[in-house]
Amino acid sequence: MNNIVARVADAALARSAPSTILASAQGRVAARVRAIVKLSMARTVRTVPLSIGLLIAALPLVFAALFQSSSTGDPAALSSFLMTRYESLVITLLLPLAALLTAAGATSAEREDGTLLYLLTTTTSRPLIIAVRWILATVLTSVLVLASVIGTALIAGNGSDSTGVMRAFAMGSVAGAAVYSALFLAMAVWVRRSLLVGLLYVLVWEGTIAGNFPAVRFLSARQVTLGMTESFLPEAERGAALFSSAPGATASMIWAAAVTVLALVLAAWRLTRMPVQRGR
Amino acid sequence: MSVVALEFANVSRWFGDVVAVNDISAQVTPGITGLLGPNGAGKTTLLQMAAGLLPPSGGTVRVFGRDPFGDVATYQYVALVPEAEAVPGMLTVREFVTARAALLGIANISDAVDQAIARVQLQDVQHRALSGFSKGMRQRAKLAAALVHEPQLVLLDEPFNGLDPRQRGQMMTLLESQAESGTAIVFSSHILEEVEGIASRVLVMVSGRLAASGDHRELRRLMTDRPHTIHLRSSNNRALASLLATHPSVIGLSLDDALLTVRVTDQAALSRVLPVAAQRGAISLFEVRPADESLEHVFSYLVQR
Repeated sequence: MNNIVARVADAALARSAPSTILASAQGRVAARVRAIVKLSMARTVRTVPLSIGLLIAALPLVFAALFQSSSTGDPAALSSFLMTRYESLVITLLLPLAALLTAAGATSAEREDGTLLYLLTTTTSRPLIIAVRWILATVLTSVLVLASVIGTALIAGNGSDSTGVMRAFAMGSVAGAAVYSALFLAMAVWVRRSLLVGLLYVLVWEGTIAGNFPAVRFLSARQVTLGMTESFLPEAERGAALFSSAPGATASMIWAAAVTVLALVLAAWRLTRMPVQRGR
Repeated sequence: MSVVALEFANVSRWFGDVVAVNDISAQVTPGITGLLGPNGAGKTTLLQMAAGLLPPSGGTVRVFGRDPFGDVATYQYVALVPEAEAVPGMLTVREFVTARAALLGIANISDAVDQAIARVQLQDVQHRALSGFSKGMRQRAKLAAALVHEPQLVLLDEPFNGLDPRQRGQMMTLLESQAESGTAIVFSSHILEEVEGIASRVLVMVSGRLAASGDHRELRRLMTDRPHTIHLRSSNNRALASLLATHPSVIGLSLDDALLTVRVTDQAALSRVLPVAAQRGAISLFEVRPADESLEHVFSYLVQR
């Protein structure tokens, strides 16, 4: 019965529709994507988060400059330096924090002040909103991380990547950016105060628990990122101590893909059925 | 027969132990419907359910026959102007309305945005960031964003809050012209004068329940014809009470130490007879104060009626 009423109403509306006809969904996807990006960027690229991101991204460059000033040109020393700094400053710090700010920042702020409804009271599908926000966060995080990774290698190794460490960490970081962005985006949709929860996840769970207990290493995006990074390294550079807690290459890839897809599906589902009220 | 734009059937919504909306049934057709009630009456919750932002805990909500919760297609026909002042402040009016138009899938975005901005008369400031806008201008920008796809049902939550009299007049004119084109408009307010100024039909909510509904003239009559309670202070309360007791509009009297409380069916009649009685008894009146003129009292009366 309701379907009949809906069809009658649709027909009545179609007859009275003004000249601003609603376009087909396919034809307007590009405009929708641009609008989502615009709203997301307006909330993400702001002075404070951008400054924090740039500051953390610059840290490895400072270390690289110090290393270069006392470097003897030994490739093994360069390789060791890069792996240590990439692991401690990029994979552990910059990557998750940049992903947190870019993936959860906009949605979290919109939920807090109620402006999320300007995005949700539209005919744009929730999976599209999630997909665009995820890709955008992955790209922004990757840009920041790649700048730091490449810049560090350029300074420390005078532009050479003879050991292949830079390339491996660059690829691993981009893959990690995709995983972290999906996780934090889902967190922003599901959890209130997601920035705080995400920070606790990075510092407490990944920083202490997952690193010390190999049994839960699959529940750490950082360990999975390290596992993928190791698989991108040349054979000679693998097996370093910093990868000791990371899952194997294949397991890392599968887990990364599964977690990313699951997080995105859950985020889209939640966004479709999420009660929207200010501060909720 | 006019299309039923919005229908509530035994709708309830609770948050934990708090019942925000309690068993409301009502229909909204094209024209302007005022949702009147004191703060905390459940008006916002009801509008959010109509906009598909909240599912009802019980009952059904239908927008043009469809369940709006989780159905993005509903937003082809529906727009919500929230009470919250927050807007994406870093965007200009034009960027904001354009983003909404794109997200709504409008074919000719530029023309639709031009029309929406012109309708709220923000052409001159359309390239200014929303963060620098006054509350009234933000309200108009939100309205432009809501009307950009010419929805058939517009829900406005306290749209007149914070507007000066001129802006309020403009907003009323705008809503009236929108309604004349066949749009169903529902707006919430806690001020009776706002509602009866433009609404052809009124829904009164008190404590989550629908206390009254119908034509605003009927509602006004109900509100003015109800019994009134007046507090009086005079130089001789006892003598004043005996003089008023015989008046036909007086239905109750109570005498405290310094306070005489009178219940009357006709407040205007009392205002005529009171000075005459005081003069006859050589009594000085110190205070004449209605005790139940607040909206809460008016609404409570409607609920108990």
